[in-house]
Amino acid sequence: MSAEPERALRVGIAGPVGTGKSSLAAALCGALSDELRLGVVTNDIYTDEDARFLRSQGVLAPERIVAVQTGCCPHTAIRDDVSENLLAVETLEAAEGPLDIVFVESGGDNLTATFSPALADTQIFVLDCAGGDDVPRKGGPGVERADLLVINKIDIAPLVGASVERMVSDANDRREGRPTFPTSLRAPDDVVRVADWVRGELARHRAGELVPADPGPMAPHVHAADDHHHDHEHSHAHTH
Amino acid sequence: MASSALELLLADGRTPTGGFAHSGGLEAAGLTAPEVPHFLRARLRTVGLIDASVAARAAAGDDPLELDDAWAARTPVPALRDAGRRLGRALLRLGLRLWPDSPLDSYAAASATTPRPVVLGLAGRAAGMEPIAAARLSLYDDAATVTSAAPKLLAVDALDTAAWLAGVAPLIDALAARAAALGPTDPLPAPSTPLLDRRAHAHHTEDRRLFVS
Repeated sequence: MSAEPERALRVGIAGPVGTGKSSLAAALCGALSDELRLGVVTNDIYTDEDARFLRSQGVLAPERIVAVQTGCCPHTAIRDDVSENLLAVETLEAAEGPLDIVFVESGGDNLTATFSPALADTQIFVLDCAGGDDVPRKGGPGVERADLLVINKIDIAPLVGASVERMVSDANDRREGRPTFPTSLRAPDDVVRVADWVRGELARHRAGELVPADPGPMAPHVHAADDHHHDHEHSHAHTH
Repeated sequence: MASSALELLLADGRTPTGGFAHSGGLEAAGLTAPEVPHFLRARLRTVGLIDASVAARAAAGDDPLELDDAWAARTPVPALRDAGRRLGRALLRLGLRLWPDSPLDSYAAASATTPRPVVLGLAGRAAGMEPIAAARLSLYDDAATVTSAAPKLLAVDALDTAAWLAGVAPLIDALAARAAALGPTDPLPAPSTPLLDRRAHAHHTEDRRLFVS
């Protein structure tokens, strides 16, 4: 029998505004709360609305859901100065623990915002069909290297003229084998699939095998030397 | 060995100690831009001086656990005590990384509350600073918290807010000297700030706010 892990698994949930981060957190809590001890830290930009939304869903005891303020800097709070979030997680664990998983939901930001490995052990980046089906092609650290990419609201894709197939295909081109789940939170099977992925991450955490795979900094990820090499070959192919 | 660069590191808002999520009471105050420099001065002379005095005494080697209590007795609003303790814990994380073998270590184990001014004083002591330097850092942080939050809360140019900060530099120096002149048996200043306190209490329960405090 393995020893109880020293602390809960910290799962970051990031992504642009309105893509369904809070709804995903609520759905995961609903799917996992019978078997696991959960907590949630929300990072609202302007209110504690996300925390109140989660409490209103009744998926967790209200004291298991805490909000932190981020002084208009949601990206700073999850990346370059994680103090407030770390303290919130630690305080939650001290008050309500031991917990198995703490979800940290970032304030909705842009495509460059990802969690520091100092805060999240593993992270989910959430996009949605309504935000434009060209977003996976645009890339960015979350799209390319988050541990899991969720493409949400696929149920409304036909209504907004978005191609889920194109989004998944563009994501797969960029993610070097990392998982991408097209998801509708209204479809129970889709929620189960994300919940199963979280269970897998928890198993790795408990086995001591989970090392945070930082999606990387906000700056564009460029292989300057590689690009040069490709250009070189390319021009040769066409000129000779 | 004192290092002025270490003072700058502790003063730098880019050093990750959680300060960006606080406004020094500015959000709660609901001021117009021209009122902010007056607000800065009022804070420095009251809560700023309390915090600076506690930081100076911690840097001078007074018992930090007694200073925890002295600070709490001079900070009557629970939400502000909580904010000061959270900021203290964040600064403690930095301090333990930079000076792992300093008295910060035993303080972290012994203190139940870790208010920021005490942690700052101990960090300054670990860095070899004089008490006046710790007091100056405390006062500067108080003012800079307000001026860096101001462009997010008011229609104001950030160059103007930097000028406000520069404008209180002589006051910061004077108050730092006053804080550092306190001896171990002198009573710590205890000015009261009923309006700041009332606003902080109300702010804590608001559901539309950008800042922790």
